[in-house]
Amino acid sequence: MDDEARLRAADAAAFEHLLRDHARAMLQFADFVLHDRSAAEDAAQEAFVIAWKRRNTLNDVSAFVPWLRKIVLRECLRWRRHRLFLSIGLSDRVVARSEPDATLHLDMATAIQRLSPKLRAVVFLHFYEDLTLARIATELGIPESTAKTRLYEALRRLQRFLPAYTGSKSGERT
Amino acid sequence: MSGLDEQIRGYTADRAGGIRDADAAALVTRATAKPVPGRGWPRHIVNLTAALVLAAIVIAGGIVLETQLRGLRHSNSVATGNGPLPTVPNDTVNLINQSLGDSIVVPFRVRTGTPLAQRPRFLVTPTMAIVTNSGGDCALSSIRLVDPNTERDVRPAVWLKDCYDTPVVLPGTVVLFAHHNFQDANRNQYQELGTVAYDWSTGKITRSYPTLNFGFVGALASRDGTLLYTMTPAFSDRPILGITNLVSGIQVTDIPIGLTGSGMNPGGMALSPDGLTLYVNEGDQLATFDARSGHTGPVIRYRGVGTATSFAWPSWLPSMTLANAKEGMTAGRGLGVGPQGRWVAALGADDPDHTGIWLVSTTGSPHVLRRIDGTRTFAGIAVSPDGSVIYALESQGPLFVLDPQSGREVKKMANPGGVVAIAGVGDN
Repeated sequence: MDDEARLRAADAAAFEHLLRDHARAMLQFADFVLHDRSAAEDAAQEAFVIAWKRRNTLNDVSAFVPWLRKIVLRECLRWRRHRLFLSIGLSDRVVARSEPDATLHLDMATAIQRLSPKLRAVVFLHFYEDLTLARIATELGIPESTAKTRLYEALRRLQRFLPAYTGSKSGERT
Repeated sequence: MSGLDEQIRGYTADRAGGIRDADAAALVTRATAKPVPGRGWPRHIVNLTAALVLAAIVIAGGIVLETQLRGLRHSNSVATGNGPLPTVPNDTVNLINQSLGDSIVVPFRVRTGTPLAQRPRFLVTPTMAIVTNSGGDCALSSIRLVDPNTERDVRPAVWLKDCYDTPVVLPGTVVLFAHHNFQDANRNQYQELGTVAYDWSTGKITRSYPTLNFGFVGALASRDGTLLYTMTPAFSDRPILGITNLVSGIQVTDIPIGLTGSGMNPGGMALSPDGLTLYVNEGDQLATFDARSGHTGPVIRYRGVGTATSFAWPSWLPSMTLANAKEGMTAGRGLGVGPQGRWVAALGADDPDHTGIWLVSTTGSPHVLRRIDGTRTFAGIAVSPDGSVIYALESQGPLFVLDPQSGREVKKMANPGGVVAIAGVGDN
């Protein structure tokens, strides 16, 4: 990393500018991963606070988006765990794990909601951000094979839930 | 672009369109504002208290659950026998670690419970493995022969146009690859281009089977490499078991398989040791076929106490892509064959709450011998080469060594971390 980039990363104003440029995309990402708008705002804000506090650890400005994406995803997953704990604490109901049920024919929103947040993250980056699997792997900090497996698994489940749309075998991009 | 792709793209765009710049900007403004001093300690105390309460709940819940499971296990009486347990064989079970992908295995020495150095999964000889790497756009792929220990090239890499994956290693020097590409420059339309036979000794494609597609599902080859068993299409409610003669290139037969539910997760195919019988684990039953002609043989239902009238597909069965072994789906998925061919072990269920490893006798009139461990959800099984034990990996959990004779647990080892499937035993 050159001196100019280091200075730029350390500069609070420049960092805030950078954060504002990508805030909407990150909120969209969090919203899709959690499928809960208010939860997404909580998670995204917490992620932005963390990013702001740790801005000096960003060594390479060009790595800003993957760096921030990982923080946002981590906060989304943390938020979800937190909510799960709350639901255990507040209710004595046993919440069954949402295993895919082959007999259900669902609409797209419900089908996507039935995916795990990690699978939803890959679906969003692939279908909305239009990223390649290699890029998705970089942004989420996972091996490309894992990104591929997650995308495959997500499509497999969606195809199971939405048989009306499964006209072809497309969907896999490497 | 498929209908599903279009629907997903439309849905993601609609949802993302609901987020305004102002909403995001407000979050940034709040995040970059000066933090309120003294906020940390109360929060840590709350977190600590919550953690302690949660730990107490988990421990209490675990005690209750364990008690219930003991009772359930006892009432189902799936394990029998009081004789001596078999000794743990000196086998290495090949494990698939999700973070390494399904083309790498981590051999695990079961007797000592130690993982060994990872290696490429597809061995063409004991000292040589085949590895493929494709570019993101499928413009060019490399096919490499490497030393499985060092992963260094033992011969110069061969570069080919398009993508080649899901190897099926045949006897001799031929490996089958699923051949695919994208129909357009934007890589939106996945295109199956059939199967190719690649001779690794010469580095050349020797034959193409343009209508034989096994894609991500994998395939199983006969011992002599003349027949290929496939289950296609990958995403179908009505999969077809196909038998293709690799010499003539003609499909011998195609048989609709009676998979319950979606049928996307059948529990694998395996051949009897003599190669004459093909077993297909349909999740709720074991179907048998004449391995040469495809003629239907006996079907053995997984039946036990508590059989339900309406059966739902056991969605927990491992997907094929995660655990294809050297010969497609031979080992380490939801199906294992005893070395003498007298029994088959299959992951399955006769109703959603009545799962386990079903040991099916294949001699005489085939029937269920016993159900082993109905309390766990297994992600894959394999049979030791001497047939003395069954290796079973609990989903996201430990690796078990089980006695097929009595169903009792011989040994239990912690998951080395991230292991999601078994891909055979030894050099399989």
